[in-house]
Amino acid sequence: MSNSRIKGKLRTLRCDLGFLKRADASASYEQGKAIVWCSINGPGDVMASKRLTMKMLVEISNRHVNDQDTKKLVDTLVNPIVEHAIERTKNPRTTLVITLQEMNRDGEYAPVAINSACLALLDAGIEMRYIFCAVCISYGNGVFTVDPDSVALSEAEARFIFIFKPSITDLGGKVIGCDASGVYTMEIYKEALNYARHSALKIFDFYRVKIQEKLAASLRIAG
Amino acid sequence: MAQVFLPGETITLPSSSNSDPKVGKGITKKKNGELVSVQPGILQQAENMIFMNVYSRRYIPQEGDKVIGVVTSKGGDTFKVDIGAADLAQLSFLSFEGATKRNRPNVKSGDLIYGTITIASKHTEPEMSCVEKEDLRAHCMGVLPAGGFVFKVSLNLARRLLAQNSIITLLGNSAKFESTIGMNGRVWISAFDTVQTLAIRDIILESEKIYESELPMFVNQKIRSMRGVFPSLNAANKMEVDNS
Repeated sequence: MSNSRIKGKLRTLRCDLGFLKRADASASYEQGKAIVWCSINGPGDVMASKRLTMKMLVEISNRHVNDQDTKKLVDTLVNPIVEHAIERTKNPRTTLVITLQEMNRDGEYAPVAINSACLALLDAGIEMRYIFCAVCISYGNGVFTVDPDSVALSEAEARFIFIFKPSITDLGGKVIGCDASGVYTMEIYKEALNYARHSALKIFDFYRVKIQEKLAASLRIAG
Repeated sequence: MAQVFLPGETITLPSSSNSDPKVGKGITKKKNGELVSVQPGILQQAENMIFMNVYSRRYIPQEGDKVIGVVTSKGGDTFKVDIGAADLAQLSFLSFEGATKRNRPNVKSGDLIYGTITIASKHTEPEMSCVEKEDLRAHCMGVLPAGGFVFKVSLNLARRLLAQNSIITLLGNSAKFESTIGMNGRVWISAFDTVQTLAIRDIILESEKIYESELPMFVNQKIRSMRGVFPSLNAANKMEVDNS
């Protein structure tokens, strides 16, 4: 779109599913230069003290996240979003262990981690209520930047992270999570949300392509 | 035509199929009759049933599945067997052919067991048995023979190996070995020596990515390289399918 208010686009997405041989499921997800690995083990055994009688316990660990801002995003955004998307009543008294490890930081960690977790969950074949994806938009000097890298982020006045689940009615999806920081008005927020929706569509398409690739051999057999 | 669905997607069946099919694994029926998939996979239709073919590595116990387990401990009248699921399965001493209270089966910790899951529910620990319920005979279940090698595969590959004309049959034309396949993704192979056993394991693992129609050629190539025949760059040689 020839809109001078928006700059940049979603960075190149790359993903390797099932690359860890010892884990039940894994995803090595790259968004531009940012890389986050996610591994999933389960449903497995859990100690009596941690066991939940009616639901599966979901333990998410974000390794080596040291800065305060990211820690806050992990607690308020990454962990709840991932946990709630999983259908937990089918395997009570078990545990699903999800480990997210940041291999390279370029821009915000949280959206890349969320997308990586969703891809790993798809690789695991675990029952989920919906799939989800996260998009980051930054705003500065009257211009929005889609999926900012570290340089663009450092120059931003405001930064928004939107998390979507697919929807037939809303373009891009329904918003199920959001974090906004910086100085902005409601108009800026709404415009950022609008730009984020277009990127969300691309990320959901990427998920579909990756899963189709993975199931390619089975698809041929099934006819 | 097979189609991939992601969780949360509505499934629309082609108009030619049954309009009210029985719903199987990976799909739920919402109150308004809408079919929604809950697991990522390929939609399969058989007769009037629909279900998702999901790729998974983690076993979830199902009644009637024949699985390979490892005995971890004995307690009271039961063995505890690790079948690769969240809970250990219980195997009673009496669930072996010819076992009585006086005549206990010769099973130690660490032994490999091939048995059937008799009870499986999300609320209880699974139970298994090494005899068929109808006639109390073993039908090849029980402790696996010594020697041999167990390795883990995905559940999909295990199901594929158990199908009619699987790679096991093709390999059997050229190599001599015994095999047992558990629905929990565990495969036991026993061949003449270690080298052959590992070669067969490698062939099975690689076959996961090969399309059904290309399997015979793939097996031939692999058997030839196992026997030390160098791959030929001559195009004519590549088309040759030989059973030597």
